[in-house]
Amino acid sequence: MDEAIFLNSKDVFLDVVKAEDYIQLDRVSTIYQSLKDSIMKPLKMILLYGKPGTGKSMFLNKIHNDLSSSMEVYLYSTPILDDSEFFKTLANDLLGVKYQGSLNFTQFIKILNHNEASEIPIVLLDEAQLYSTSLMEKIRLLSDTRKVKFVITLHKTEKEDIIAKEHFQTRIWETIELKNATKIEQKIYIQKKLMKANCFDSANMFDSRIVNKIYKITDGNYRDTNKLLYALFEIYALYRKNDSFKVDYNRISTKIIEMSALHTGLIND
Amino acid sequence: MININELESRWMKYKVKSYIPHIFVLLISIIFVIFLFLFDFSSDKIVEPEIKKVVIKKQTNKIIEPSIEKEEIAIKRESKSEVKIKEFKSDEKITLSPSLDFMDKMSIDTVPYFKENEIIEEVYFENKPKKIVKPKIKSIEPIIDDAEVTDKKTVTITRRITKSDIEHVKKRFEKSNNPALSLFIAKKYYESGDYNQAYNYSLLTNEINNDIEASWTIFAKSLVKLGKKKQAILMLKKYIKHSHSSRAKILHDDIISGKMR
Repeated sequence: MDEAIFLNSKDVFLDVVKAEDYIQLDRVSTIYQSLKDSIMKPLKMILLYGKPGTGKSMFLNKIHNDLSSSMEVYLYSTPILDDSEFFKTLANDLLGVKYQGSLNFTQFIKILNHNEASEIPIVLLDEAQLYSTSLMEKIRLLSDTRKVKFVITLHKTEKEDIIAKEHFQTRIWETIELKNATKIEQKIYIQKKLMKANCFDSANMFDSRIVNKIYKITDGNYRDTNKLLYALFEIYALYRKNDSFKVDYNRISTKIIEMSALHTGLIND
Repeated sequence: MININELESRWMKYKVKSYIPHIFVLLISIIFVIFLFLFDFSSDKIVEPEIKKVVIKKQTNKIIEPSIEKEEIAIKRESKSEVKIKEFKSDEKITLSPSLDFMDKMSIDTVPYFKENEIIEEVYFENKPKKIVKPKIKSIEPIIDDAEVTDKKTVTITRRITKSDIEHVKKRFEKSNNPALSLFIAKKYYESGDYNQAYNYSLLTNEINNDIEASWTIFAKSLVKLGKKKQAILMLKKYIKHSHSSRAKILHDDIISGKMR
């Protein structure tokens, strides 16, 4: 196999959040559809939670991509940590109001009440665990007005669970948990990702035995899988470039997987 | 940029480290086997397995037939029997004469055959007598339909839903996601005046199954009680449009007219 094949395959696994790179897996598609349905319901807030690398940001991107043409959907991938900046951004994006100076919660509510919007805007907040406790309270109060709907993502840790319970226990909301992939899902994920980029030869190199080895190292985490395979194809490309005879280029070897894992820090030497 | 040579040497170290536990276990096993082998050869004792004598006891079955006048036949073997041999002196004259007295003395008793000087151990076979189990025949008693029952005991059931009961139902709902349970909870909260929770649970019920009229009724009533009359009217209108429910229409009219407050 040519070096170019390995380089193209490597680029497939760049860890970038793009809605176009979304891979449809059965279980994940069901969850995505339920998230879409929840947004249509008269709920104040939807919580999407899971470990890092389970696809929360990808979900928000996909939702934004799918609904932005027909609905008012605003995605904030990077948290706006300053309260005043947060409300000023919302006022600008949702209401078209450019506010000079600082804007507090009460002022924002007044502006919101004056504005008679025909449909309720949906605000997608990624990495919500980075928001301060007081800002999360204000977000909750904003959702109570039913003039703005929030979809927030949180990392699933004990601490965030506590925060979520304290703030939102009495509110009606939908909670959707994202988990790591199973072995079969991981195999489908890898092969679909490669086939989407027309890397059919590379896709055929991944049999169940190799995927089991990858699963053992990554535990089905999408981000770790991307990191590992990026490094894997980079190593193969380097060997090919130097025309090394140490490696069989027609199959994935356990040695190269372990070398990639060492390079990315997924295993320690 | 990846340094392949460095990565390969790291991989070698990793591989060697990963094999160390396996090598360790293998060495221990080899040492253990060698130790066992040496220990085995050093011992001279030959131990024979003990043979235990088993005595099987058998109990004789006694057959008693009251109609037949026979004596009990017991099958026994005597423990020891020694035949005493009369020593005949050569001096004595022996005259043998036949006697028919034996006819009178003849009895049922049989004389067991035994060998001289043979010691036969008592052998008893224990056999549990067979039990004949007769099936129990229930006597059929005639059913007497006594219409005149004077002593009737009445049981009164008083229902009282406590907070812990609602919590119990909530837990069941969390497990099963049954809309009947969430509707029950919503109703109980409405009755107790907690309109917030009534609203929450009726909304949950509608999410699971949006065709339950009672849930929409509680939902709208809760909204009215929470001061959100307009919202209640809007929701009811949508529901009526979808379901054409007469009860929902009546409630809708009541809310508008002010009868429902």
